[in-house]
Amino acid sequence: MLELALTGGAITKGIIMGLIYGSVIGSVAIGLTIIWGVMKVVNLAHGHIVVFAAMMSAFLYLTYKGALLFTPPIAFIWIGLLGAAFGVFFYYTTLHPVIGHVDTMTLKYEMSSLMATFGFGIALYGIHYILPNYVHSYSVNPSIGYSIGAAGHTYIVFLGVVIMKSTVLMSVLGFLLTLVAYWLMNKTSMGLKIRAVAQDARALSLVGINPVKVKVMTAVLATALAMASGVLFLGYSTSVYPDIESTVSPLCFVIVVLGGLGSVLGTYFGGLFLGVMYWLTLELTGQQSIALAVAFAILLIAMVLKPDGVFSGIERKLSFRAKRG
Amino acid sequence: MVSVFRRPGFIISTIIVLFFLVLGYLGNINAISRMYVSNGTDLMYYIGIGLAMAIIMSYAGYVSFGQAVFVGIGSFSTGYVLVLMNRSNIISYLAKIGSGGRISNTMLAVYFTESLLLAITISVFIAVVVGYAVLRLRGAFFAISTIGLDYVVMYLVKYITKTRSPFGGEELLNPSMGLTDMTFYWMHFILFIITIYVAYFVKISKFGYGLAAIREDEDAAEIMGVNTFRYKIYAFALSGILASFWGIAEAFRKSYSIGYFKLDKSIIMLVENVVGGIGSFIGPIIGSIIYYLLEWSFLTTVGQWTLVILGATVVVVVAFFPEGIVGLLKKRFPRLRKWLE
Amino acid sequence: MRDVLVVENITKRFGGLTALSQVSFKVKEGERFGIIGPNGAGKTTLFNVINGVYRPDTGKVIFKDTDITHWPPHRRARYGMARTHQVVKPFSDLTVLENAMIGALFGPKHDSITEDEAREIASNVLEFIGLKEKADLPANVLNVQEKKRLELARALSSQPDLLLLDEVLAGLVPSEIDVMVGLLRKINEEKGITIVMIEHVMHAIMNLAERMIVLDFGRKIAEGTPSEIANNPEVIAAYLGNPELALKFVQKR
Repeated sequence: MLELALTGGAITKGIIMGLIYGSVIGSVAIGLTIIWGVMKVVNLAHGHIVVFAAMMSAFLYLTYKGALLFTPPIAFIWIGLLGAAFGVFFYYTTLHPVIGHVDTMTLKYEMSSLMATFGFGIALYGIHYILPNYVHSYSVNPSIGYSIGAAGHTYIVFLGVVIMKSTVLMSVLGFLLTLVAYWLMNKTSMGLKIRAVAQDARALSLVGINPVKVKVMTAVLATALAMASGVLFLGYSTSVYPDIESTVSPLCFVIVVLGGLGSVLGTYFGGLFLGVMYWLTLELTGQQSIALAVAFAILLIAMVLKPDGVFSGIERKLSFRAKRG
Repeated sequence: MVSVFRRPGFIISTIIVLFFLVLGYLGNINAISRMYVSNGTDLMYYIGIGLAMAIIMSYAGYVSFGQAVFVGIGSFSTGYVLVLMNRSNIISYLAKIGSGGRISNTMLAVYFTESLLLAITISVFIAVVVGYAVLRLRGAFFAISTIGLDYVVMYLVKYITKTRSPFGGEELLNPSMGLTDMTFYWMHFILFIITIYVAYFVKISKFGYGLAAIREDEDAAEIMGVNTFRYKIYAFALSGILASFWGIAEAFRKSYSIGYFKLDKSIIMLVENVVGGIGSFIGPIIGSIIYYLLEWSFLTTVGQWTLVILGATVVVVVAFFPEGIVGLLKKRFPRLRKWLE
Repeated sequence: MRDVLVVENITKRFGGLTALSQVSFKVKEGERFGIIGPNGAGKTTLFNVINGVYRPDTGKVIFKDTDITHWPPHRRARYGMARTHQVVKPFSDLTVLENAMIGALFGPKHDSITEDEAREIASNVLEFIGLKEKADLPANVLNVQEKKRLELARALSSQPDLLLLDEVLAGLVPSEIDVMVGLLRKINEEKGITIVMIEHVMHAIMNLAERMIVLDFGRKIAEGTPSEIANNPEVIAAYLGNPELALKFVQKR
């Protein structure tokens, strides 16, 4: 019934496409891992925020076709900044009433915050349907390919694999976003405070830092990263529509669980791994549903066997080496 | 000691059951009453899935995002029995379409029972095998892992329907059986009676006390002699069986589609429990009724605003009434406590 | 009299830290047995090994002549072992009566007991403990002292043979301590339940326990009657740091 196309070409294609996809989806998951690792909040609104940004950027790009402001590399930056403002709104409407003054997250608070972000998520999802000029789906990919392609071609051929140029650009942007997030979390005083809250919120208030402020910063950083990463779908997907959330969100959970909560680089590598597994299965079986089933089976297995994350060691090793070198 | 039949929860359940019984008998009078029959069918479905979720969420305190997998399994079982077993011609023949006839009650009962047995088998298998692994996780980790469970099963079933369905897509259209809304109403009614009384008797049984202990403090429960791991698996499986019943009911009425596996089914079940109040039997029922009324009135008055308002409602409830409606009532009117089991 | 609980050579390590090292002792049926020691001596860890929360690295736990070292906690509870916690863990959303009923429903008589019987046992225990009038309140409205009593009621409702009490007197004011000590004595004498207790309130445990052991850095450093323990130089050293100073201190008394 299920036939495997076990050829070298399929494997090469699977790996290359997987790495490109993994870089995009891995960077999309970083906002989730930060908020989960620091505040112990499982942000069910994450995927909705990402898709909201994707829809917004697609709408702007297609409406003002050709305007430099709305092409991905530029939009990527200012939509990320917009996301920072949106993060304040998100924090004060949804997280603050539930966990604003909670020092240690018990199971009860974990569940309440889960439900609150869940509510925020579906409200945000609902907004797509009440906006005027709502379009069910934006077809975006080819036009972006032209805008950044050097000489007319929208694709390149690498090792016999046809790759859209725009997807390569998006995966590079995803990598850059990861580096920015890593730098913010590990090399700045803001990152230090954020990581300190993850350890002990009460101790932090004893040394004169307001934990609420740090929580706001965390939400702002995570939301900014989420919205910036949403722009990547503009160049990666052939079409952008609200329901891609139902695949994006669960995949982000898989990646975060693989990468380890709060670990930026671990999450990125989790994304690369998942991307390769997904694309390999897709190329070998030719069945998207089997590929997705494999992705979620990985989630189940990883959660049961290694809930601390499979790739969480990577960050520790890298920062250790950086300190020595 | 009051006998079970005089306990508040039993009386309330029986009143609700009688309400649906009367509605069913009055249903066939005219066009307007038939509209109410259709609403009643929906309402039974909403209360049913709410109570199915209640066993794992309200009683045992485990939030599952994946209970939709069982609704999906139920509806797929029906699709399998009616469509994939290639009996469509036989069923349509039995219904004698063209001459305006309908399938005999006996054959309907046979197909209904087959769906039930298939759904129960698959649900128990999945709940026990997967539960054995994931019920070691707690809190958010458990919740996330159930998303994984839901999606693995959903995509596998999607593959099966894609390769085997005569329609080639994500749906299995039921063969013509010549059934009316009233038939569907009574099918829902049968499952409703089972669901509401099972949910209630679980609540007041020793099993229910054990689950309550797990919800309040799992470690303390284990130390006091509750076999927590086994109880959690039982609760997960029972919740799954009841959820699968409602997949069956809806699939007989509307045919199988991949939509029954989608997370929004879990979400509805979850919202019903949260709004009503965790920890009780009455809570999820109240939550379900409110959810249905809200959704119904939103759909008719505010249309696309439904999701925004629902989401905002959840945020507000979680932030300001974390104990849900039942918790609020208990606090305001301590005398009502006895009635809010 | 037979030994109801035998602990043999228990060692428990957490990573590089040895929390318990070769601890052994025996508790006779009907005895009031004390475990004392400075903070971090491994007392609660020892309880966690006895009632199955932790598995020991070496050694055996024998309860009522059965080796229960590898049993999960719930099975030990059903075999007649009950426990209270240092930090009270009531089922907050349930009523006081329901809390106690759960003890009865899942205790040693779990397979034959009906809900009505459990309710009756629970309300008798609540009366014995002095919580009768709070029976229908949710457990989270009780004060600390009442919550401690509730822990005890929950443990007693299961009708255990052995009761493990982890600092049941901590956080109580002196008058409450006297009441609680009287209650514990009554539980032991009237109901014949063996009690093993961890305690920091010295005068209470010296008064109540018939025999006791002393733990220090995970080792058992002494065993005997309260008066033997009070005059053991090693124990005094463990508590006060300097043996000579401690001896002087004791002699002056």
